[in-house]
Amino acid sequence: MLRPEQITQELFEFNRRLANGMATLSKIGQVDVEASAKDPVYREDKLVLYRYRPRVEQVSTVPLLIVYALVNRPYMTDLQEDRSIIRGLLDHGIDVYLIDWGYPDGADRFLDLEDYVNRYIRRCVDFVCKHHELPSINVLGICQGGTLSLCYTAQHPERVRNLITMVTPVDFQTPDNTLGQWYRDLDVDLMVDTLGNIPGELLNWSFLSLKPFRLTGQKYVDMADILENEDRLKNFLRMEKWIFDSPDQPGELFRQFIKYFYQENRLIKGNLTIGGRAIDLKQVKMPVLNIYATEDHLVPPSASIPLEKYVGTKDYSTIVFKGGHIGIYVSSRSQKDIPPTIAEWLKARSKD
Amino acid sequence: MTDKSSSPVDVWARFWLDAQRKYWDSWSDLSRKMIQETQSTLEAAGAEKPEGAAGPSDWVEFWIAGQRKNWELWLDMSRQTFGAPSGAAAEKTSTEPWSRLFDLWTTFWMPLIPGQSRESIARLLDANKAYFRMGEGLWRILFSGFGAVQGTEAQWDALTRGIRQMQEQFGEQLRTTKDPWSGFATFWGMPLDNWRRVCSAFSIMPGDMEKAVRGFGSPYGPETLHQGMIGLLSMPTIGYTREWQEELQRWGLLWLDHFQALQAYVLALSGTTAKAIDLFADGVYEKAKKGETFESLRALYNLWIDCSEQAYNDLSTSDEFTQAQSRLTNSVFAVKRQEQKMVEELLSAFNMPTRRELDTSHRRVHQLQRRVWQLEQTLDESAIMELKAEVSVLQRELEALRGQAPAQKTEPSGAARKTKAKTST
Repeated sequence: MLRPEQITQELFEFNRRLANGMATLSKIGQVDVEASAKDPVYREDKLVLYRYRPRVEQVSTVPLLIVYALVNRPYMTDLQEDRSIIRGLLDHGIDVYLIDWGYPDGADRFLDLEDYVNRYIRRCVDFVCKHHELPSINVLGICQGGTLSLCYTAQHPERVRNLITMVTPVDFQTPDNTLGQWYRDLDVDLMVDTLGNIPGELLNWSFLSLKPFRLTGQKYVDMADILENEDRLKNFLRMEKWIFDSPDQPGELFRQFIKYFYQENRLIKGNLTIGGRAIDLKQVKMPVLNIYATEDHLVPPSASIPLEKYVGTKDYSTIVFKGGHIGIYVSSRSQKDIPPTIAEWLKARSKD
Repeated sequence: MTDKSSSPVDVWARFWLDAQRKYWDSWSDLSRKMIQETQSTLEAAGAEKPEGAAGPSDWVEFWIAGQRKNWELWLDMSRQTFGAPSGAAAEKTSTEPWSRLFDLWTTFWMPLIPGQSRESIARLLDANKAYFRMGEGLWRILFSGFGAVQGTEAQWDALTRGIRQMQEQFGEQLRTTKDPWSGFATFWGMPLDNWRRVCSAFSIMPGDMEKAVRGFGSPYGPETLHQGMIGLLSMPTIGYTREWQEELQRWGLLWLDHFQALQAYVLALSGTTAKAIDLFADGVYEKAKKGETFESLRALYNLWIDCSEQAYNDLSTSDEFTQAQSRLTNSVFAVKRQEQKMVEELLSAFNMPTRRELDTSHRRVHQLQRRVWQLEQTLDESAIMELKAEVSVLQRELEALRGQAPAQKTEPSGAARKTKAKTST
């Protein structure tokens, strides 16, 4: 039974941890992220295409290109040595490339879907194909990057040998998609015309507002429990750095993304065109692996699961991860399950 | 702390812990003494509380007196090292001793934190202050209940009653406040005041303007004031500066619209707290009914977070909230857009570059870049077409040669196959 003096005791203990924790925090210095060695192999505007250095003998002859979202930074896939999807893939002999979109600024505000799908992604795929003398490669699209990858693949199916989508929204108007609901009545033209690029902070605000009590309150009370443990504290701070490291979204891209996908759900309605050409998901006939998280509050499972209905492939597989949108990259369970499963799936489908 | 280094942070941490230990020791002594006294008084008097004996409210007063004493001790110590807070801040400590102490502590800590970590730590301290405030509130309720009654169920009843009482006080605050944000930003430090920050960050006249509008007291009520303002701002404009007056009036109208949207949004959100309190009280009651107990303040805090998220989720997915939020967002940007337009007018008047001009340049660069890219693409494609055509011609010539020289076909044929296999990869 909770007694008043117990509350005081708890608060005192809490205070003690905070005080000691402050000392730990003040000594912790720079928080480093990114665990795996990589080299830039192609650049265009602010985009940099990286190739990761192999850690074991490569077993697959077909490389994998990771297309990350424009929201937040791609180092979430390689946060630290023991929390890295990329490291897991490298350890399973996959040759990994990654697109880093950089930090768009005012001069990039007119970049739109056409630029991202048919220019940037296309050129990166072309580069990798040419370098490996292959007609097609494997593509892994994450979150918004998954949606862009789907669009690219639908228009250039001959260039994608196998497609993996991870926490990728496809149906943007399911009842439990809170972000979708919030965007429904947003005057996105006014917003983009006013702001130009959409500030990362504003996007972060909308993500935090989905669970404000947990994400801006409880999380930091729980943080006090690990303040005296330097390793755990560093893990926490790496995540914190990533969460608030949010590039701005190019205005035109944001306008189209919100209108076409969230407000009009064009991807599954079949009336989306990019660069004057229709996006027909039935053209996605290569093997598809769809990975979603059961507790994802940003891309609920109901937004990802319908992919199967709309793509034209006969080789469709799913990985259901029990966790959230972020846990899928960094939890210890995901490190154990996700990279090996992806690697096995790819190896089985990348033989000559 | 085992590390005896003498960095300012270590010195401060040791100082703080030392002060805390003294604070805690003296409070524990006082607390034990008071509880013993109450119990012996109640035992001596049987079930009835004798006239003049210490009751729950007396205990709270004793507690506050004790806190004040400790606070003074703390202040003396801190004065010696860091100087003292203002008189007004010290006054408030009598009612919120822990969280005020936490405030003071935060003030001292922040300058010592290196720049990179400061933002995270500010969040940490904000959230933990809310935790302290909750602890304070619950402590008060439990302490009052503890002095009066014994037994699990009775204590949980007291807790539930206390929470309901807080709910009423909170509702009263909402009804009387002039600050549209205070409702959900004050109850145990709910973290939703980030909207205010967002609104301010995107407005050319941050929070101040909002406060100015809020300060317009009207004896005829807010609706009349609003209508009156609309009337004034819709008056026809005349004279040399007519266009500029129109812009100002448009800005005023947009601002009024934003202010109304803000009020509607806050009203929609305020229901969250009331519902969260209901869910919290129900949760506590259900647990008590099952004979279960909360073993820690943190367990209660976690229940509070769960209830708040549930209440917020129910509300934030409703049509009413979604519309209120969209209207607020749209109204913020409408004001901002109008402000930009006015700033552009001024910049043009001074022959300074404007955003509109920059946009034109960026758009042209983008269009040029896209044309270059498309030309490159076309060139690539046409080069491929040319190569394909050349290969076809060569293939035809080869076939023709084979037809003319059937006796020598073995070697060239093999070479041709090899070439074809290579190009096809």
